[in-house]
Amino acid sequence: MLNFDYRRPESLDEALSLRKEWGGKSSLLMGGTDLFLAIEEEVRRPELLIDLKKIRALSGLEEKDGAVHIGAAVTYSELIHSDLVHQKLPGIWESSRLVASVGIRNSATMVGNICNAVPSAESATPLMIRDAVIHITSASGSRSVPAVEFFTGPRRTVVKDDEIVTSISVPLMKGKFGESYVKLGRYRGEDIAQVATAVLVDENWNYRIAYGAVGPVPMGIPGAEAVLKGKKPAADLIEKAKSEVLNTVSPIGDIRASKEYRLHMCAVMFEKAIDAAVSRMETGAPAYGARLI
Amino acid sequence: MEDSEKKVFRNDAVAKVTGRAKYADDYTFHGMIHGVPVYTDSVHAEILGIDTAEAESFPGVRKVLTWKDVPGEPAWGQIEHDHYIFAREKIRYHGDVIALVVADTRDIALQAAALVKWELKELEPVLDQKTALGAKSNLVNEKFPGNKVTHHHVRRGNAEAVFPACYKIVEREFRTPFVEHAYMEPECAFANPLTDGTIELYGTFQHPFSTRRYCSAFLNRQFADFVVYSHPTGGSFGGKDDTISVIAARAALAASLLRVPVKILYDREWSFRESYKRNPYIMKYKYGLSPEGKILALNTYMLSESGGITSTTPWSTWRSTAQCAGPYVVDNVHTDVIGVATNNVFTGAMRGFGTPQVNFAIEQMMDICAEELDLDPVEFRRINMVRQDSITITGQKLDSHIVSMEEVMDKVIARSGYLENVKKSSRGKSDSDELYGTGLAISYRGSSVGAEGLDFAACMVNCQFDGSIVLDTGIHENGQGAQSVMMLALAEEFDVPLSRIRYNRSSTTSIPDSGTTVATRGTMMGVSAVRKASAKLKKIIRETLSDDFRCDPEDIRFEKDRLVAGGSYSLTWEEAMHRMFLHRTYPFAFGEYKAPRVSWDDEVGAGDAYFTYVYSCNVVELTVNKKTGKVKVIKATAGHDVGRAINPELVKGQIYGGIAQGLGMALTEDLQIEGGKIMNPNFNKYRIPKSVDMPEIEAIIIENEDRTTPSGVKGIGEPATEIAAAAIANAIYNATGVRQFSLPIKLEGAAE
Ligand SMILES: Cc1cc2nc3c(=O)[nH]c(=O)nc-3n(C[C@H](O)[C@H](O)[C@H](O)COP(=O)(O)OP(=O)(O)OC[C@H]3O[C@@H](n4cnc5c(N)ncnc54)[C@H](O)[C@@H]3O)c2cc1C
Repeated sequence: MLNFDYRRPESLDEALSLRKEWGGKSSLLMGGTDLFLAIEEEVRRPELLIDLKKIRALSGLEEKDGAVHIGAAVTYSELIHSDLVHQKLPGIWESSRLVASVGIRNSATMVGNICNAVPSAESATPLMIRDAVIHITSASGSRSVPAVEFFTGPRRTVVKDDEIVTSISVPLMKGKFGESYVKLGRYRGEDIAQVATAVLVDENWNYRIAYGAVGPVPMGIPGAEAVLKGKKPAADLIEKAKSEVLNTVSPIGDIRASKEYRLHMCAVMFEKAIDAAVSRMETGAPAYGARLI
Repeated sequence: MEDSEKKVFRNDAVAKVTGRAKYADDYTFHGMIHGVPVYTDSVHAEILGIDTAEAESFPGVRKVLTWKDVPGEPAWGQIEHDHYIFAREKIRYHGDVIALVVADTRDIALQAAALVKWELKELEPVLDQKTALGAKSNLVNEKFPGNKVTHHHVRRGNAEAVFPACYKIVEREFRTPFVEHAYMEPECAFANPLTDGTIELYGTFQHPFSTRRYCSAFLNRQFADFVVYSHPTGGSFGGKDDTISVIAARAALAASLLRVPVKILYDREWSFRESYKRNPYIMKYKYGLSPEGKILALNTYMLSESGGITSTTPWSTWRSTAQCAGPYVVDNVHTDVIGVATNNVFTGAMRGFGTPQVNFAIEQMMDICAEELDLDPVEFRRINMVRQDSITITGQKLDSHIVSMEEVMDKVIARSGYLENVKKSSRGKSDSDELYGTGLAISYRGSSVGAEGLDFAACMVNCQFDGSIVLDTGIHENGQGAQSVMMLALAEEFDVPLSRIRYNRSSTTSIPDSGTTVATRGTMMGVSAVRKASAKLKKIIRETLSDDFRCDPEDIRFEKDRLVAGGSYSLTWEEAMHRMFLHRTYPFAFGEYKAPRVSWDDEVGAGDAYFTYVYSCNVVELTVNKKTGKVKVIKATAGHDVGRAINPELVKGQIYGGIAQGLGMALTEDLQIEGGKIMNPNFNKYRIPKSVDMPEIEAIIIENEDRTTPSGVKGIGEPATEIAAAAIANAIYNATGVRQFSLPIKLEGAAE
């Protein structure tokens, strides 16, 4: 039965003290596009909802000190319409456009997405490859956690019951780089990913590669990064790196795809993602947001 | 009436786009209370006991109803009486309801529903059609030995004798799945007891008269004791008959016992669980061919799953039987279609009603046979298709109407570029990741219910003395624009502007039963009744006013909102109606239309199945990505001979929607049932196509005015969806070189 209290604090301090008082019996509410489903399906049974949307301190989106800072209340629509994001974080921009549909994106937030922490979470891998940092606060202090360490299991993160994620910062790249985010859904219509691949390459041929929806948490593929490091990709390297991918991922079969299909697509999408990232760095094409699969 | 008025007319458009249209759940009555159904978690079990004591003593609960409270028939149905208002001896599917908790609020009812207890003796679930058929024990319903709920056949010529002499024999097996109607508005019904003992009912009813029959049977009350109102219905597609009628009867029963208004509102998951689906089929098709490409013999054997309740399975399977060969002349046919009971969700009427399934098999078989003979599939169809005066497989001579199969096919082929595109099809080979394919399918479809039922409809035209007109027909609006079409037809008859006409919100007590809005019959039957009423009314007006005109009654004409008769004397429409008043004659007429006779001999399996036929052709183009296995339908061209298009934009709307529904059945909709339970009872997991999944659609309206009814209309609702899946399957073959024998088509496993 749905039965909970609802509070909408206007300041972070107020939210933090509610969080301290209620702990695990509270749930934080942003767009609610994940949370309400979890409540409806009784995956979550909060006694108090703390709605964070009215807290001004969480709504910033700006460039400062060599990084882009994304406040916890920033929605996907705001990200997509931001020139800053489009220019400086093109992979994040590209992936944000693939989240759900306009109506959902108008209320869904990136912080909600990573805090919900399903293996297919759209923003997980693009943040990981950019070495993003997640800022977390509680009544007793603040800490920052790299995106790669943020996810601890399906629907689990390092965030504790008395904490709130306040923002994400993404360091700016120096020099030329290319990114790509390839999402495979069951249909063209909105659907969460069957497999997702994110790739970053810079002018020194350093690579960052991450996969979503093919393991209990979104995962980086350091083996493949090492194979390619310092080199322009050639067919034999790609093959070697691809086998690193396949050795690292551990997909399951579910209603959205079979295990075999996910493995097959990990390989197919690897090539597409590497191709697009490299070509974007070198030529600027295909444009970010173009269909890659 | 001006032509510009005709272009797109919907009397309900503004209300719907502004959100002012009132659907069932928008109504509320003073003192209204709420009912909530109770399900067990079983799909097949004997009921040993139901304990409602705890739920009944829950604060705010007014009553918990079970079978013990039912004064009338325990079970009812359109054909077999095996749909229990409350399960009594047995649970037969996961949607069986054992009790209704009625409480002050919906919330309280929901809480108390969890307190109803039951004792069951679990039985082995019957889940597979093939093993269910012929079973000696553990039957779904003792009424049906061997779990066989119906069996139709066609015997024409002697197929078995012809096969051995055939040049080629082609044999395949096909399967089609359960499909959910996915109407926008889930079930909602409520009952309001009036002081004289009658009960008003409001709800998401496809056919208020059907609802009344169920209520009358369960409550043991006469028809006139109910007033069932129609109001905007959020889609139906055939899906709002049995289930909602039983829900309405539960509300009526509660309201009559408690003497207060009772509402029952379903959520989507209850709707998925309890409401019927499209019948799944297993179909064996065997064709015997001559070297020149003539079909010499056909043998088909089909099982059609009826699930836990019979519903309309005996009728939809009859349509599959009568149309089992598609629009082709075959002199030797041996067909058996058998309906099988299981403990899966029950099946019933859904747009297409037994033909999307057979067409999926037939139209792929046409391509397969042509390929076996090294013939062009279009030429192969031409050799065998029905033409003027052809004799169908049921022995009917097609002479009542214009047989336009070839015309329709040729128009669609020309507009779609099929003949050139089919040559470009990849057949599994391409340099890029994308494989391209185009596919074609054709059909003919008997209009209206045919020999399944009695077919007649009523209309009342009630002109007011100020010139305004109230129109009422017994054909119920399901969201497709039926009212608008009948208003257009009436405006056309009298040549008056549409603004004069208001459509009366009808109820079961305001107009006689005109049969249900099914079988592509609404426009054809409704408009025919409008024509009949108009003819009568014209006669009344002419006879009353002929003295004023000093002419013969027949000389008075209705033109441009006036009455004229050759001479200089004329009357505006208002003046004419005022004169009717002075003559003390009502400008009112009741029209009734009886459809032409049809026939069926169940012994022989032959007859004049339908009085006219719609001819259809779909061509689709699509791509299949080799690497991902994803299918993208890029273009659909659909042509239909609808007889006459009274509201052409709405005809196109039907075609667009029909393609969407066919695309869903072909590619995206996958009802997952485990142990008789639906695992994806909501739209986050059961995927209907979204706008981005839809192709560009070109709709071609072909009009050969039909001679069999006064409407000139043949209809479009079902033809629009019955060949889309077949055309997609053929296109996928032409793209990939691999045949698809079951739906929905999944190619992910074949990605390379
Ligand atoms: C129709 C539909 C389609 C969707 N499609 C996609 C898709 O394509 N890709 C995709 O990845 N997702 C998809 N989603 C899921 C969802 O929309 C996204 O994950 C979204 O980003 C969640 O953000 P939110 O603001 O709505 O989060 P909420 O639902 O408000 O919160 C999500 C979770 O994060 C927690 N949380 C929120 N804010 C904080 C905070 N500041 N600190 C700590 N914890 C916090 C909440 O307690 C909750 O557990 C879809 C959802 C729907 C309904």
